[in-house]
Amino acid sequence: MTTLLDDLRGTVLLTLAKSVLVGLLALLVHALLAFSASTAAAIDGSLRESAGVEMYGVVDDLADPAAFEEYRRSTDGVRAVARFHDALAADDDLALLSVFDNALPVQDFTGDERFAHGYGTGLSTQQPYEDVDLGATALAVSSVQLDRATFEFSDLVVEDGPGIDWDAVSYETTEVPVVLGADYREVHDVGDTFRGALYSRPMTFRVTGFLPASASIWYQGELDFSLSRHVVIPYPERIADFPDDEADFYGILAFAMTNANIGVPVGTSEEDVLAALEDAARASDFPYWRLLGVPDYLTQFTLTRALVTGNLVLLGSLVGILLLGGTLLAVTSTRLALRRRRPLAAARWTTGVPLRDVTAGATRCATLEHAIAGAGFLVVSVHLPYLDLRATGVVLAALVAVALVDAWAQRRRVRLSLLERTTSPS
Amino acid sequence: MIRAKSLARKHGLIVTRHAVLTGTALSGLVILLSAVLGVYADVRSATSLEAAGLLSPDAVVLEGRVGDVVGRLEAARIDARVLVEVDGPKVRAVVDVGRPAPLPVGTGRTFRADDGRVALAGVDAPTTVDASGTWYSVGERRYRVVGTLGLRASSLLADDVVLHDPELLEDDAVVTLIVDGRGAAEALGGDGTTEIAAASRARADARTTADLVSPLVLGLGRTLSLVGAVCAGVAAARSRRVLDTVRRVLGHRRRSIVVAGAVATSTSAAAAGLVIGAVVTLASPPVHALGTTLVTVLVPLCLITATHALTSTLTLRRRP
Repeated sequence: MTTLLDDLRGTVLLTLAKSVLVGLLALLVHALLAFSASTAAAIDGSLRESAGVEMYGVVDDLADPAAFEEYRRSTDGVRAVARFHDALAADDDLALLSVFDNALPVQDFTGDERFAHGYGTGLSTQQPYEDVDLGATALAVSSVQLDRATFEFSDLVVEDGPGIDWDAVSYETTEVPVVLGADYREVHDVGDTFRGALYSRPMTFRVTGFLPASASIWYQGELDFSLSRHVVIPYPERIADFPDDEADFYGILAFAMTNANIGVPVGTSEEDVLAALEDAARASDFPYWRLLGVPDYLTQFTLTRALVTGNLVLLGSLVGILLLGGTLLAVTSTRLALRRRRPLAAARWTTGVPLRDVTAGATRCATLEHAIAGAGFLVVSVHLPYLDLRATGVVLAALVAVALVDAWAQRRRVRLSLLERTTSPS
Repeated sequence: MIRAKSLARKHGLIVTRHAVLTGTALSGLVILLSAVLGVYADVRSATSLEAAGLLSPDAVVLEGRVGDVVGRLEAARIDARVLVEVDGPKVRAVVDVGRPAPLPVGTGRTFRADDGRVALAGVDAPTTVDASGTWYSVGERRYRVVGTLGLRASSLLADDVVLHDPELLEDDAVVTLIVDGRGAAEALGGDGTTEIAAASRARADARTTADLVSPLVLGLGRTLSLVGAVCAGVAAARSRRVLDTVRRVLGHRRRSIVVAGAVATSTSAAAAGLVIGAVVTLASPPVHALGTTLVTVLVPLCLITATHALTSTLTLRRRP
């Protein structure tokens, strides 16, 4: 201990400065590794290559409101639309992505106005009102209804709770499972139930989980339509076998689900997509459909992917420059410290201390410098807003390696400087 | 002075050229780090704006008169941007209050306070070109295009247009506008007459930890730069310690010794800073303003000089 204090005499500030520098560099590398991991997760997840599809839109062609209303009120007509949807959903060569952001009146809503439909978009938001369908006070909250294909295509994950059992989703059961946007954590817990009116039909919904804060989907020309304040209601996979007395509700549902996006692999021709839709229309006896091109999706997808990758390159370049500069500063402070420690080392050697014991001082100092840096890094890294244990482990291993190399280099430098003095002609 | 130098030279104690070069290189390195951090901060914030349709997470929507809102933001000394849709969501007029984050501009320049009707347009925006320049028109009004919106040609803002129109401030109409700036919502929401709602759109940045990592790296980098500046100042003072001590022994005044050392150090650091500032200004994209380069060069320069002066003063207080 006394020897270590002797080693540090006159170089305490330099030692601390170097420890701070090394600690900062370790944190920078940690940040870069953590960011690389999150970028890789995005590129392999929601921005995976297979999500880069050609997007089309399919809409009903019943432009005349009267004709539309008549068709929607006919059980046979509704069943034809539902069959058309089911046929398209069953086609493995395309992905039918049904999603609709219809407001959901929720009975005795306990959250605040931030969850109201239209909030934050410049539209006027409704206050709580007496809902006829629910027969109680309700607030129309933001909600999206989407199918399994959209949920999986958008790489949505449920953070807490069991999530949605898609095979069991049916509107004929007593409770419909829902997942909620991240902001709903302050309003509900997993397992809570609440009453709402989906397309004017009262239902009980059970909370089966929450989405991450960053959850978003492609919707109405926006690649990043946020779901942080939405109630996400699953669509059933098949709807054609609905009860006859529910034609009114299923009429709304079938048209909502059929006015959807269609994703096909890049390179698929429009004729192939049209042929698939014609087959489905023939099989379901539903001729009133139209195909739209949606070129925005692929453009936005490609540019967003490039942007996310570009962010990593930008940050990597900065960290590279900072590492280079920081390393030069650390080397300079090491050289200054060694110069100040040289007289003591020379005095020890002159008084008969073996060379190995003299150079051991350099090892002690290097160990102390890197131990302080490592401890500082650990203390700070566990308090960072993002937790990446793998990155922490890699950086700690790198710090140990750097400490070993540094100790060896300092020891060598002390030995050479002592030998140089004794062999110098002067 | 000459006597002190010759005495020091005689005993091999003069400030060597090597020491001066090392000190200058060290100062230059620190200034370079600071300048690079400044460029990164601007490019990063512009990239973030580009990824989110020119909105940051602080953006709020409200109804009001542009002039009133701008006046209240100015009174509260908030750096913010006010955006108003002029022709759909892709064509917006902006009014900058204070110094908000720079707009993502790929070529040309961004807006200046004394500009008249000018515009920044994405590459696919419908502009017209004549002998007097490139123009964007909204009805009867023509705006001279002074820069390309989007850091690269293929940008998420390729169809967008941003207009700068001083007459907007005098418009008495109540419109839906977006105010984007830290603390803007609090500054505007105090009297309860303004309905404010957070813009709810997600952003490409939310797909990764960019929002968390980037400020941290900037903070760490700035700390590194500041620690480096202190080290450079101390190293510069130490390289002159013997000469300063000899001068003190010879009867020079302490203040003049400290000032002479600080001037020598700041001169060499300023030379390095000048070169680095020029290179950074020429090499950086239009989103990075000259004023920012000046600040990022001057801050470490001042710190190096101050540290040198402080270290020299402390050294000279000790007994030689």
